[in-house]
Amino acid sequence: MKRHFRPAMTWLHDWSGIITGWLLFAIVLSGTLSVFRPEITLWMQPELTRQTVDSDQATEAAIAWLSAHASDSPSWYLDTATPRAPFTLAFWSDKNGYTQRPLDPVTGSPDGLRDTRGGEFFYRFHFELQLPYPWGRLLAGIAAMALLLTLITGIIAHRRFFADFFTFRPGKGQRSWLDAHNLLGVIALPFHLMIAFTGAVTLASLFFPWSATALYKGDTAGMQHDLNPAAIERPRSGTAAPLAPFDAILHTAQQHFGKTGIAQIAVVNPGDRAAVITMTAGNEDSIGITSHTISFDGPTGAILAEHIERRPAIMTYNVLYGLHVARFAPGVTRWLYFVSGLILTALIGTGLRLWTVSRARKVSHFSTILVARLNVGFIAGTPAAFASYFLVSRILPAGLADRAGLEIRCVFLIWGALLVFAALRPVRKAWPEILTLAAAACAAVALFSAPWHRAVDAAGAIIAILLAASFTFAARRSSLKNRII
Amino acid sequence: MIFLIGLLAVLLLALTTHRDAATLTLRPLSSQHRLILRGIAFLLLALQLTLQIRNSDSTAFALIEWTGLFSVEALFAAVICTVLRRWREPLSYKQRKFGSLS
Amino acid sequence: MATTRYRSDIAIRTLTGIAGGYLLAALLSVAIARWLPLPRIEASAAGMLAGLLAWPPLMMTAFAIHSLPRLCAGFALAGALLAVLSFWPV
Repeated sequence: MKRHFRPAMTWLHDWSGIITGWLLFAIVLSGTLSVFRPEITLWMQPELTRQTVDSDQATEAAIAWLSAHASDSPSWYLDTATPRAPFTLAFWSDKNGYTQRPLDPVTGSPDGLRDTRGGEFFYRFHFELQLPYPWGRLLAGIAAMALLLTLITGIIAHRRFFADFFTFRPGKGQRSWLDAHNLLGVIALPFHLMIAFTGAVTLASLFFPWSATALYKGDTAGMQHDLNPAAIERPRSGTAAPLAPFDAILHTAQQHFGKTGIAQIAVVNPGDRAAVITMTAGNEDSIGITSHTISFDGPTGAILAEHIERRPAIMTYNVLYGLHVARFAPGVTRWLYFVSGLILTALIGTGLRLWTVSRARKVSHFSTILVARLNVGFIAGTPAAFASYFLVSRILPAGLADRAGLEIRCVFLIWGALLVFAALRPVRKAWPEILTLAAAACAAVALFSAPWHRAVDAAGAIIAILLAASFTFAARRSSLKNRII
Repeated sequence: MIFLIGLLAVLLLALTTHRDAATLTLRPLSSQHRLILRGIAFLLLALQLTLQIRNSDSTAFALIEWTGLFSVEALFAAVICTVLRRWREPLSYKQRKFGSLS
Repeated sequence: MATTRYRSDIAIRTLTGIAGGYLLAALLSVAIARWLPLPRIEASAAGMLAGLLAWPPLMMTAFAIHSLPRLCAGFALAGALLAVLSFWPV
């Protein structure tokens, strides 16, 4: 039994890793970039140069603009302006369906701002994979569970956990790849386990709705109400009524929330007698999300319900969710999430690489060649494609029709082209070529950050230069003569 | 400063593993020395956490930051060990000529 | 012949781990939700998280237990027990 256990777990680690590895690589890389979601949006909006904004004034301007231009939308959803994201991010429905745009903090209008998804692209791709509901989320959830499984079996498979804690022996082929894989896994193991499990938690209701189904027996509204007693839902009445003055409502909410402020605002049935405004507090002072909610009657501005989360199981869920999305994170922690995310990306990359390196000495089997080519396409191609998103966003003219959609189509076009290129080209040549392309794309992102006045441009340029240097190094190493494919 | 305390602790921990002791010092350490070094390292890590908790509004936030910092410190320590080892035992002629087997 | 046997062994374990493991985890989430003396929404959330936590270890169990008949019997027994707990009329 004991002699059988470790080999079995190693086998499971290898196979669950290779089957989900490429998908996980893209998910983890986009998730890592999502750490700086508002910053990326800001980077892609060079017109937004204002350093400080008054969040409440920006919200009032946004509500005024939406009342004038989006009164037909069944609901509006706003992420309020913050020092990190000095714009209101609004989500509403127009004649083309739902759109999400940043609104100018002074005029409240999206005019003059570029039509781009910004950092929202990476965030959405991270768990929806640009696939229709629910397929993307299902795949992402399975990937999260597989990552958790692969991590746990990996710990069991690793024989010298503490003895090899800091060991990396370069220039020794398979030995070096295994060293790097172990090192990257071990040093950030708490983060890896946390992010895999909490990632699965964010999609848990999709996989395990059965407990709620069993207890509520189809009473979805009752469950929603229990989940957040302050989330009031009522049907449209058909009688028009303007919203109460918004400054007073904002003032009341700010008083109730204290220093955490307002993070999100939902206006359901705007312009109707049955309008409801729901405000969610920010969570800069606690890990858990949605800890405090208030809803107001739209036409009168009276408080309909208020809820402060204190129930243990729901709070556990909210804290696990909050750990994953890291909205609480102060500056240093956010950077640590980013670095840890890169470490996890590299862990998956080295794991995929090990698969081919450890099999290279055997006869070149079709499956080994397939894995090798997919490795080039995903490990080198994904960063190149993601970097190209930044470039496309700067190159496309600001006033183009359906600009946001075009940007994303370009990314997938480039990604697909790189995958095809990697599938056709000899692996030995494709590695340095695509890695060089990724380095060039990152260097170009640094240049396009000019004139580096805003903090996001300067920081973006520095990260891009560091990444360009890493890819250049990797490209040089991969072009060495006697390396294994 | 907090980062340096942690880095020192992690380097001491590296000293207590067999392989890296040989890299960082000339002579292998006795098991008693190793135990003492490990003790100091854990004390330093505890000191780092205490300082972080004092600087932060919330213990939970400090704990998350400490865990994250540890990863970065361990990465630095591994890089330092690798560079030192490379410096101690230069590449063989074959490796220089043909590049390493990677 | 060794490879066919090996392959069918792997196939059965994979199926037991993924589908069987999911079924057990789902039943566990329902059983926990029904028997925890908590308000409905709290019990639902606790059950959901428990199901999530149970799935990966169940998957590992499917590959860790050496004897295939014993593995299948164990999963079936656990499934039956949890099904009784989940659907027992209260």
